[in-house]
Amino acid sequence: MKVLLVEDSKDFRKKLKNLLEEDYDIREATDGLEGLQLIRDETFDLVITDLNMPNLDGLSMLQKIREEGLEAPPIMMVTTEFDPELKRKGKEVGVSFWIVKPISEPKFLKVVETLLS
Amino acid sequence: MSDQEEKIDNRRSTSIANKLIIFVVLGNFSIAAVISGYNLQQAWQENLEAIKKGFERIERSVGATLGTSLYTEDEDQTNKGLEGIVDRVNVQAKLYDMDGVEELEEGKKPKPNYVKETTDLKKEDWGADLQESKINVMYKDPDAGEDAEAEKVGLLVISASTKVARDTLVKQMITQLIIQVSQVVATTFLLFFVFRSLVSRHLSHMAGYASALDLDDLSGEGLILKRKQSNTKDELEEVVISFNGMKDKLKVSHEKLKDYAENLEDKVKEATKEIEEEKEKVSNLLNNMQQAVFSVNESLEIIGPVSAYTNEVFGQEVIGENILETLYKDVNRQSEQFSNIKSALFAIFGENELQYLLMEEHLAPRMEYIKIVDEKEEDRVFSISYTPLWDEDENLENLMFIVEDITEREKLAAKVEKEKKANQKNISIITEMANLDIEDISQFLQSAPKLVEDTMVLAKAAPTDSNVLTEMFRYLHTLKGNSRAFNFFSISSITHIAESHVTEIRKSVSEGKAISREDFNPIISKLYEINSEINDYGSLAKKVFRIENEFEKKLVGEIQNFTVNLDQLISKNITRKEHLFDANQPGKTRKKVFVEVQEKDIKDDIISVLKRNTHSLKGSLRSMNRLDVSEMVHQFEGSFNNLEDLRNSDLEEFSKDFIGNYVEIKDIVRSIYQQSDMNMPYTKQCDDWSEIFKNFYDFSRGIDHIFEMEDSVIKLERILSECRRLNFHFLSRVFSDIFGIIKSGPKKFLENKERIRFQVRELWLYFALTCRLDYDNVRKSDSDKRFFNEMNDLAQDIHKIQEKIKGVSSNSILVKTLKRINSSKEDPGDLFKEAGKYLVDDGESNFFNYFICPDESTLPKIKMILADFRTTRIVNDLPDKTRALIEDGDPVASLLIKFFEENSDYLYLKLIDFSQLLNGFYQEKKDDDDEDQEISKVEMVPVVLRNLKRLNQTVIDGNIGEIRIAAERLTDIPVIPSLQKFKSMVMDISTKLNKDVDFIIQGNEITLNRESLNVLQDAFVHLLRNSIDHGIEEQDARREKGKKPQGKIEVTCNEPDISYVEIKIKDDGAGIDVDILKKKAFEKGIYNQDQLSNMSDEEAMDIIFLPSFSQKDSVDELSGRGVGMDIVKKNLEKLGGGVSVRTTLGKGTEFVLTIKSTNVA
Repeated sequence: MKVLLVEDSKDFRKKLKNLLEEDYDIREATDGLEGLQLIRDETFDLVITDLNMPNLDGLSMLQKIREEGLEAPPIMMVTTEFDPELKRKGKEVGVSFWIVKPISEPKFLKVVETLLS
Repeated sequence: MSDQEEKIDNRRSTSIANKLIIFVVLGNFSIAAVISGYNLQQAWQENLEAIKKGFERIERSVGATLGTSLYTEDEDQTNKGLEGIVDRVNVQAKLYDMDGVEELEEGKKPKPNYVKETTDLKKEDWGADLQESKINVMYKDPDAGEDAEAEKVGLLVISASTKVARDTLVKQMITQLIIQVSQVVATTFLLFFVFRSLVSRHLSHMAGYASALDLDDLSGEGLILKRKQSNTKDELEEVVISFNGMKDKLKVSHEKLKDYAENLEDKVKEATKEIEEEKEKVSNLLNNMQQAVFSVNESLEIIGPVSAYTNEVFGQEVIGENILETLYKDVNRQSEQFSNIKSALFAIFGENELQYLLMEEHLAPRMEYIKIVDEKEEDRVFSISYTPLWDEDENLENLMFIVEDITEREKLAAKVEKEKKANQKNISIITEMANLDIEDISQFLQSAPKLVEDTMVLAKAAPTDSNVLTEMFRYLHTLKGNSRAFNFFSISSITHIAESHVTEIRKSVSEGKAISREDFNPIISKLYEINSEINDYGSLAKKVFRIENEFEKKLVGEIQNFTVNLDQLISKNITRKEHLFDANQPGKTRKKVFVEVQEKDIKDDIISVLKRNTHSLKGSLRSMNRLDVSEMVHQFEGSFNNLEDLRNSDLEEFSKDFIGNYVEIKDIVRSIYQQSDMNMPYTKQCDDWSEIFKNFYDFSRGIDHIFEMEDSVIKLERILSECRRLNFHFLSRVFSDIFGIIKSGPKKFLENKERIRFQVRELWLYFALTCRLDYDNVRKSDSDKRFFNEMNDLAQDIHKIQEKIKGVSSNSILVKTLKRINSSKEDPGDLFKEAGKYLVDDGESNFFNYFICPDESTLPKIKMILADFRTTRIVNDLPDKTRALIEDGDPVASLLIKFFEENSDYLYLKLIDFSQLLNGFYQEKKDDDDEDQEISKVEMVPVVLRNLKRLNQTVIDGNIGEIRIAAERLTDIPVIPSLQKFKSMVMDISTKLNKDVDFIIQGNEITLNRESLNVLQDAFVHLLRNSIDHGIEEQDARREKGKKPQGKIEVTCNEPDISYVEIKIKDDGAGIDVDILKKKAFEKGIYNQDQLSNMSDEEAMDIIFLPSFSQKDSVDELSGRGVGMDIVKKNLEKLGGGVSVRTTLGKGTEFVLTIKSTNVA
């Protein structure tokens, strides 16, 4: 199972990686552009992406994927704050799940597990 | 019981024996009948056989003869032949000749020719049952050959009768019947009796027993058969055994049943109650559950239905409200928590379970909430649980909230936790105390609070003078030492912290750094802590060891003290017109005083002191178990919030919550105090009074030059300690206030000069009143009366007093004071001048009358005014009689009015103090037997025995005085065991100072009374510490001097005389250098060079006992020897003993303490 982590914060990326790498094949990208490139090149079972990133933010990345007609896996979008406007935008570009930091590790893992099983 | 059981059996009772008999009889009869029938049948047959055989015999034997006779017609011979036949058997023989035979054959009945029959047979015996045999009678002619045929000549008919056989049978039958009947009767009787005795009797006994059984009481003996006991068991026995077994079982089950039946009602009640309680609980739970249950939709609005309690929980209507504006309204909007809650709520609606799972964590399970109840804000705590409600597509449609108010529960949990901690602490305290003497504990609990209080007084003045700081240090040091000596480690450790704070301040002072009031706060707060520790120990000691009196006294004192502080704080900073807030006062007045309060700027630190003090008061009241009052204090505390914002507070609220509680607390505490042992009448000792008065007079005169006179501070301190010793509340309080100001230095003094003047005036009033009361008291003696009469005349020229006072012997405070002034070469009349400065208003000149009044009715007047003052302090409100006195210019009345006027800070104390003063002067002192409670311990027995022996001996050869002394010593306490506990203190201190000290107690078994022993123990604390600290050198230093590294302190107890004991404390330390001592004394200005050079070494040694010497810095080398020495000396002297010191430089020092070993004053 391949999981793509798109996250500009090194620490948080590392944290997610530590949580997941034991069970999944992890790819990392540090911003939306990198992430988009990886999605173009490879197929993923799950993409976990940050919302706010330099160069290309999470929502825009999804927008591009959609525009390019790429095959989109389930998307988990990580944010620190959430509001109905984001929800609407997320729906448009195909965000499957929203995660608000700080994440609860056991529940996060459970959800990932359920998604990928 | 059931109906079935109650059914009564009405059937006739019968015996099994009867039935048995019937069966036996019938059976017998039948058997007998069968047998007899058979026998008779046989007999009958035999008879018939016999007859047949008879006939045959007759046929054979009779024929020929009879034929011949018949042929020959020989009648005789024929008759004979026939007779022979009938003789043999019972027969009838009829003989027919041929004619008769023919007729017979023709069917006729011819008359026989011959008839013979057995004679004893009667005619009627020949019945139907006749057996007949017909025999042909033949005749053969004897001459006709043998072959000739016989000729029939007749027919013999023999008839036999069965009568004989019948008779025999009948006889037989009768005999058998008789036998049978008698046999049956006999058997019947036999059977009846045998059965009855073997079975029936027992059965009916059993039946009787069984029916007589009382089911309510099966406790009696079991069933026993009334027969000889045998080793074998028959069926009856088996029945009995099983019956008894059954009965026992029945008994058990019946008892159970009975018990159950008896308790049933209770049980039912109990069960009902339990159920009720359970129901109650549940309903309480439901009622008090304060659970709000409701749901929130996608727009985060609360939607119906909501549970009944929802509005109550939130204190508002919630349907339609946004959840963020209700439940989460008090979360800080900028906080991450709020942001997370908001994000989570936005994210979950319309999404599936996984999304909810990701957000669940952000929904807060506990929330603080400000609830508005009756327009007041209340802090509540909610617990929240969330349940998502899914739509048919398994997406979250609504979120259900269950919100519970857990404020009380959390409070309760906190309380329980606190109690748990307290209990744990109590256990450790008890463990500490378990190893101690009750007397020691009570002694400690008595002395420790005093030390704390003394330190507190000093700390609150925030002194910068190093002397004062040293004093503080000394107090704390003593407290630490004592608490260590008694193993009260939690006290000693807190004290240690306080002590190190003082050390820091001392260091800063010595380095010239500035010291602020704040620097003392940690010390003060530690002192409060120590105090509460002591209270904890005390209240436990009270419970565990029943140290009632002393501890109670201490608590009462403390409560009193806190209340006095409170009174002072409030009267100084808030209002001293609390009586004007009373609801009965005119509205205008109340408003006016309230505005006055509102305009005051009550500083935060005042409020915090007030809070702390009130809190301590509450603590002490709780320790004393006066929960009623402590609750009131608690409410009072609650009203302090208003003080911070008085301008916006309400008069009614302030009057009720603050003033109302305050007045009530004071009243209650005063009554607690006045009912306690503390409320002892003041001393009548006019020596004590006059000394204080004289000292005060000196102080009053020198007040403007106080910083120019070296000893004025010392003098003031002496007054203060004397007032404390005598328990003069008012005086000690005022003096300690003044003392505090003066100690803070000249600048502070100048700032507060007005205040000091005011207080000095109060003191003058007090002394004047005291003299007035005393005058009434001493006037009874003639010499005093005479003198006072003269004094009246002297009012015009007070300087003449000096002449008159010589040679007057008097017990009056005033006269004694005047004499004291006179003996210090001053004009006694100046006393009145000085008093006039403070007491007399412009134009007045009768100040003399304040002290001496010719009117003899002083006492009732004073009492009346005092009583009136307790209820009001407004002159206009006083009863007419009192007011009349004042208006008449009565000197006593005006003195009292001045003394109790509104603007004093000490009104509360004055009331207490003055009533005690009244009691002291006017009541006969009761004989108090305090000592009774002192000794009651088992360990005392040997001591008492020894003292008894001594008493015995004294009675034999002593005089009455000695007997009294010996008798008094019966209650003494052994000294050496009491000193053993200092071993641990010595160890402790020496280890700390890196010294090695051997502590030896030796000597005779001496005894002292408790009071003396306490003083001795105090002295030991000082002396031992000084010896270890300053006497014994460090190990290296000792080695250099060629001494053993281990130092030695030897205590030797002796009793050189029956009237006193002697305790020597000898160390082998460095000794005291007399020259240095003298030098120090000179530097400190105690003695001048001349005096010192004329002084012997011995005299010089006494320098260490001077208070002025003792006060100096203790930590540096030699001078430290003085720490506390003045106190040691003073206390010993009070007990009629003393202390002396001998020292050899380099070799060591020996203190010799002597104590009078009796109570005799």
